[in-house]
Amino acid sequence: MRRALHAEWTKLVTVPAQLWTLVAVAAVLAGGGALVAATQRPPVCPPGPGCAPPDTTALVLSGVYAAQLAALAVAVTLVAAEYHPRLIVLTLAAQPGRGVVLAAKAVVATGAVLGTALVGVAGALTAGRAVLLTRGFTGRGGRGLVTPSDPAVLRAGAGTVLYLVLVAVLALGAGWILRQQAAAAGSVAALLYGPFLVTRIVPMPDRVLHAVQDASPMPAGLAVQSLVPGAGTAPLGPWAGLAVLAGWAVAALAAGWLLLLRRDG
Amino acid sequence: MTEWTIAVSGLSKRYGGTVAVDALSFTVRPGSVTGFVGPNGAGKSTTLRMLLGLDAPDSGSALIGGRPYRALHDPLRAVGALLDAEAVHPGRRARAHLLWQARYNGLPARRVDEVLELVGLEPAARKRAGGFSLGMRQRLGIAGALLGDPRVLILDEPVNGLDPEGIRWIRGLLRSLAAEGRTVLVSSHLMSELQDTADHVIVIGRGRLLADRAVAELLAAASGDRVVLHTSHRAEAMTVLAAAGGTVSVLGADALTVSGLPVERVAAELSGGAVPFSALAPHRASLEEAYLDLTRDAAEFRAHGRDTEEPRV
Repeated sequence: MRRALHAEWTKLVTVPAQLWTLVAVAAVLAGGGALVAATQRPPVCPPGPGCAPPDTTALVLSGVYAAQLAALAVAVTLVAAEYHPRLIVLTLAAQPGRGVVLAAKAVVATGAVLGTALVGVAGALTAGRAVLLTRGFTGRGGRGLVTPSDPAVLRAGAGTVLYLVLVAVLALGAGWILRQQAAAAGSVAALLYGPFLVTRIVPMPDRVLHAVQDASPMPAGLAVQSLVPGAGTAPLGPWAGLAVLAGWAVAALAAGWLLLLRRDG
Repeated sequence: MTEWTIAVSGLSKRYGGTVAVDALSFTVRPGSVTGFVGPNGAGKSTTLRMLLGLDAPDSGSALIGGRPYRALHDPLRAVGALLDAEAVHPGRRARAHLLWQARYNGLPARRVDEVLELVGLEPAARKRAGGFSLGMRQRLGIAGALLGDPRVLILDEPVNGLDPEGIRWIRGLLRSLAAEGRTVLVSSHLMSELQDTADHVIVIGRGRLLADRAVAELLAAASGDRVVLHTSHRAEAMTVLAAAGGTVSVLGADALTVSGLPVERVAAELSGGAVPFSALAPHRASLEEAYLDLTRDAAEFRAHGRDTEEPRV
């Protein structure tokens, strides 16, 4: 397994496009956070129950909506690049154990996304806080400043990193299932954004809306960004929401594994 | 110690309704170059893929050193294979392409540089494989096959895309690998490519074994007792030789093939009949002719069956 990890890591870092896409995960998270922070203003009303400041933590972490595209691209590419042209023949000749290859790719892809997402989230929180300060968010009286030492903020940050790692797992699964880069990346993007857009466009009763949000990987997974559990993109607790995404991701990877075992190399 | 023999036994594979490989059995021994020949679509690549554990056979077995490929530990150290020279990531440098393969089997990076030098790709080691010609990709694929210093080499159409200098190089390489006692199996759809390289050939057509013989034997059989005669007096020669009991067929504008009569007898009959001729020699078949004979027989055999499609040569 150690050799397989070393080999798949070598594959990842010897294609420049993959490295740039990984850099993009971090850059989009941090840059997006700073940009969104720059558009915010503190509320002008006097502090009180009727005057809630925006959830600035979720806002400075909203670069995730774009960064996830880069994360899924890295993971999809690590798998789909085996098939056009058919490098998989060389891979399986060097390591006939299909499970070993699948596991090595999963560890390498999630590890790489984990690393860059950590950097990106830390950058988003730090840069977001700095920009919010210049916009007049003082933090006093609940005035919506991002406070990285706050456990709820840490949870949102860690949850965002975990969200991106799980998106990478989902993308790996799609890559093994479809083996075609554009098709796999497109399908994962559609699965992530599709239900979210539907809930924005199609009028529906709250009961249906909440059911859709609870079942959809992106709204459920990003519920972790909300400082108030259940008040974000889905009426789910932070970890329950991530568990929904994890379910999708594990199911996709398991389907990909079964297909890899069944199909000829 | 493992005897590094390739043993294919009763191997069959069908895709949907098409039989790709049909009860194929043969053995490839160490120390010689064995050619694996057949028309396009004969089942060569499918057989090689089953040998490498990439396709599962419907029945039969394909073993290397007595074991299925998938049971080999660090397979690149035992078996080196080139199946598809196009299997390179265009954005990855040649050296990196070999490096990840080496790492899968714990081979040192030093070995990558050695094989790059061996195949003459050292100057292109830091170049992206996307810019490589087919000939360079072929060399890169051969470098990959040699990475683990394997006892068994399985190369699918390694000559494709090589220039004449490259073809000479690979012939020498294959001969020296066999001389070192390795098992070398080389497929080709062109028998002539193997004429000066292979000691032994396995010929398949439509997934079935047509011949499994030493090249020298195959050539002797294909040459038969035929005599090639060059004469400007074709009609007279045919009359005289037919009267003497020979079977004569037209080979070209002024050439005939005679069978059933030894060379001396043909010469005597022509002299006796005062038929002038410019050349007379026993026929020496090329490997190409031997191959065409074999595949023609296969075509006739099939003509009695349900399927009468000609082999694609």
